[in-house]
Amino acid sequence: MTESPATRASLVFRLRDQEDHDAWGDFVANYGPMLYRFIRSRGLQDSDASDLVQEVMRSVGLAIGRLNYAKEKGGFRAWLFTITRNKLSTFFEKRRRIGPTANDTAQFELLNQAPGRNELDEQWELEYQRQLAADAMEKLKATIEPNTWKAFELTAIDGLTAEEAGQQIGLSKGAVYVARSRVTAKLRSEIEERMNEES
Amino acid sequence: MNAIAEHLSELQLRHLINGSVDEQSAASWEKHLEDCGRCQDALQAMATGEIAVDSLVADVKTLDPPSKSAYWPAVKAVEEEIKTSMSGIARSASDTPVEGTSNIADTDGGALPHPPTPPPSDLEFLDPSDDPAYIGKLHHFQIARVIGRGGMGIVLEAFDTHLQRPVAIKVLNPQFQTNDTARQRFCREGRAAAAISHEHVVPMYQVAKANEGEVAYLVMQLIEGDTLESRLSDARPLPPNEVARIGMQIAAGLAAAHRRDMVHRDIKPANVMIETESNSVKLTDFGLARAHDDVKLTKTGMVTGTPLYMSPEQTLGETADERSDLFSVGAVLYEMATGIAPFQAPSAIGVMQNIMKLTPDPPHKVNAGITRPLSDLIMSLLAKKPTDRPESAADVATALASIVSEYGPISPLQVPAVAANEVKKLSGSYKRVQNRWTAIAWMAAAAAVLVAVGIFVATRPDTGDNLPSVVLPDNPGTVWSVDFEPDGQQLAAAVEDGSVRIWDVANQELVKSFGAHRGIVWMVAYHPDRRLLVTSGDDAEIKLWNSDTFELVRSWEADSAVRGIAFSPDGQRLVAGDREGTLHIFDIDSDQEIARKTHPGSILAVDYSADGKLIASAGSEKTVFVFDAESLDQRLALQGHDGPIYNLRFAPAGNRLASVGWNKNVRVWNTDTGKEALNLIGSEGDVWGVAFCGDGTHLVTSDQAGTARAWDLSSGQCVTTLRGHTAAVHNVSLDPTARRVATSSRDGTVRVWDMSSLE
Repeated sequence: MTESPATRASLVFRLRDQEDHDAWGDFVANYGPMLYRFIRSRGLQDSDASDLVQEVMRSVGLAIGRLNYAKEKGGFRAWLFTITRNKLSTFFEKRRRIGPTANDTAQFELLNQAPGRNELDEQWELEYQRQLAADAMEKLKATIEPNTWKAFELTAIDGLTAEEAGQQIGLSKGAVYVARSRVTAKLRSEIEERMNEES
Repeated sequence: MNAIAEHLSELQLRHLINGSVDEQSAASWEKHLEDCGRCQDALQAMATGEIAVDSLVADVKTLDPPSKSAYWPAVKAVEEEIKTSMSGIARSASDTPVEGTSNIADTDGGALPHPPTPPPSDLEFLDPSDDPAYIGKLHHFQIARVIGRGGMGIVLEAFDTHLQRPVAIKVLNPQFQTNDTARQRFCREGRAAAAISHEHVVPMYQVAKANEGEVAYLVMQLIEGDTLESRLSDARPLPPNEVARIGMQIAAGLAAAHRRDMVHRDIKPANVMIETESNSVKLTDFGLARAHDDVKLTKTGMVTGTPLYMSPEQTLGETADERSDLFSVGAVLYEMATGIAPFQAPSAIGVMQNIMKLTPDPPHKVNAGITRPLSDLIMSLLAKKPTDRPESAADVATALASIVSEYGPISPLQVPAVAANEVKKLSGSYKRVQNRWTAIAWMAAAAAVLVAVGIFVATRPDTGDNLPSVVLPDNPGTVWSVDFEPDGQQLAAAVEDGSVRIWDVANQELVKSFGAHRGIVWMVAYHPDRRLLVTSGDDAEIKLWNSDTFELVRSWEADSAVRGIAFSPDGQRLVAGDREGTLHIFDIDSDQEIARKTHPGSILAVDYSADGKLIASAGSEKTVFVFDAESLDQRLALQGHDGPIYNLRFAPAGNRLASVGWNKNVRVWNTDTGKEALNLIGSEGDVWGVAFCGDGTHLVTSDQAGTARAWDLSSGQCVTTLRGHTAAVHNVSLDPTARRVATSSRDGTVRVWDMSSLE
């Protein structure tokens, strides 16, 4: 996650360029963990989820040059979601067919019933935003006064109370609240900026 | 430093976040924050805004897969694979002396060494897709995945690249494809099913063949939901009110098919879809069982498959008719009510024997939660002799509707559209029933209706709500306007997606759908006596169509979106009001604009008075402007509305004008005096639609809450409420020939209400 947002936006074009050897690494770093989390959130075991991530990545790698998806399907992320969703469906369908619950008369057994498609969409968006947030934190950290950052990290991530955090770094409780809100606000605008670039 | 006593203002909080405040103030505000939970929360909420930053960062440390996860080697392996294939391209590109581009992004395909992944083996009739998001292609359908496999065939989720919408595709099994009779029947039944348009039947879009006619498939609406079969998979009964509701909707869908002499033949839980969002029932697989029989019969000489829901006559191999479907509905209802299929046995033969001989325990004895009327109705459906069963699916739907009402005040929302004439027929057949079971069921149902009406009176101030309505569903978006043809046979609906849909009212059939405008179609109106239809849209165009051929006769252009149009009573002129507040007058036989006039605000509605002498116009300005229709001199400015005016209408005779709008406003004006004659109280939310009845004694309005109301203008009281739409009702139209009201709604449906039971 060392790339600037501008690079992220043009990742698609770089992936198509076989001279750009870093593009693939960036794609894996940017999207791999979120793919993994998303697939795990559907109840798959580690090994199945890893296989599925691999399949999705293979599809992307092999097809990226053939498509003009950016124009027709609402961008790279939407395309990636469609691939992932369909791979997941195929996985479940296969499992159901060979599993003990297989039922010859079960027509129209819709897979995306328990989690509705909206729920799937939401989960995907959530994982994506988390990834953006992590990315944004990475970038912001260097630009923020260390104590302020620490106050944010201790309270927002490590779950300490303002009082506990304040004692550790020698700030008043009120100052910790303010520090946290400042970093939060910066993070938010950073995340928003990234979301706008992508959409 | 002392803490300040008052809570921090928004501005102060913002200064703190931005660091744009002097140290002294900051310190005192921080002091306040120490002990004020409210300001702590407000501060963080302001910082977070609409993005849930707190929860997004909370587990940032565990975002990556664990270090021992199989993820890491898997990703590494695929990376190697891709890099190898990439360098392969680089080599082959340099070897080939054509177009020296180094960027494969510019090439249109075929540049990669790997061909697209071929479809799975049992889907070999699919062409490979060029998009890895899909598993294959069939004509212009990109196939996303297999939804299910059954005896009949494979059901696929697909994306229609022409119409840009998701669909379900059912492909006949390969073994059936080789049987010409089966394939022909599959297509024939598919076409017949396509003619059924009902809210409880899965809409069939298309019947098609691929691979030189060897692969037949059906394209239908993709339903997001599950099957009744999966809801019954744990062998537990459903809640009794759900049993009645689902049964009622099955019966209503079936009634629509039976009206077209279409027998389902294979009603079973797997063929009953339940849409997740609306919980609405959708029947599928009409008539397909017959194609199935063709194959099985030729193969084994005997009907096989799942006989659990078959009727006695079907097990004997006799022709299945409407009553046979009713038996199957009974078996499905029985299973919903008790959790047990009524004729279960270890073998198919055993099931068939049970179907012939066994009378199962009545549901109310198996499950105490099932009421006697429901239990009796189910048992009457399971009568061995077809003539002992209820007469029609419409009867059953109506009986179940009254049983649903036993479980609480009936919401007409849940009552499906059984054609109004069917309901009337029912009251006749009710007296004729001879059969013991049905007689009991009907008496119970009648009692239930009385109970339901009692509850109604108690809970709703305005009664008479349960008028029969017919639903014209699945218009692709908000229906902004609806108008009856002067002879009442058809009605036209103006839809948000730019199309106009023509419905045959009696048969609930879509007659025609055509693209009329770019963007929203706001208005549609029939000419009073000529075969013409006018539409107006967001594209500022006003178009006149031949209402037989739907060819464009003439079109005019306003300055901006046109939301109000009306014909003059003599039919010679047309007034259109646009968003910029300009009224345009056209002669319908000329391309020229005759006159124009601008008033303040944007125009949302216009109308001609019955004598053709006045034009009224209103919109965002809260004022109804009345003009001389010839000179366009302003005659009146009627004031009283406290918000925008959404619609207005002159009475069919006399001096009354009704206007409706924002914040429950329904006002009736006297255009002689310019005074308000009535202010009708009782609407829910903004009022969108208004129409006078034929003799001007009643007014019908429609509102944001999805309700239409009829008002008696002599008393100023609401006399009936039409509930059924699930979203705002934007427009109402009255059938000039009968006591029917059409309402059009944001929920994408048009409803036609039979008001003949009212005074």
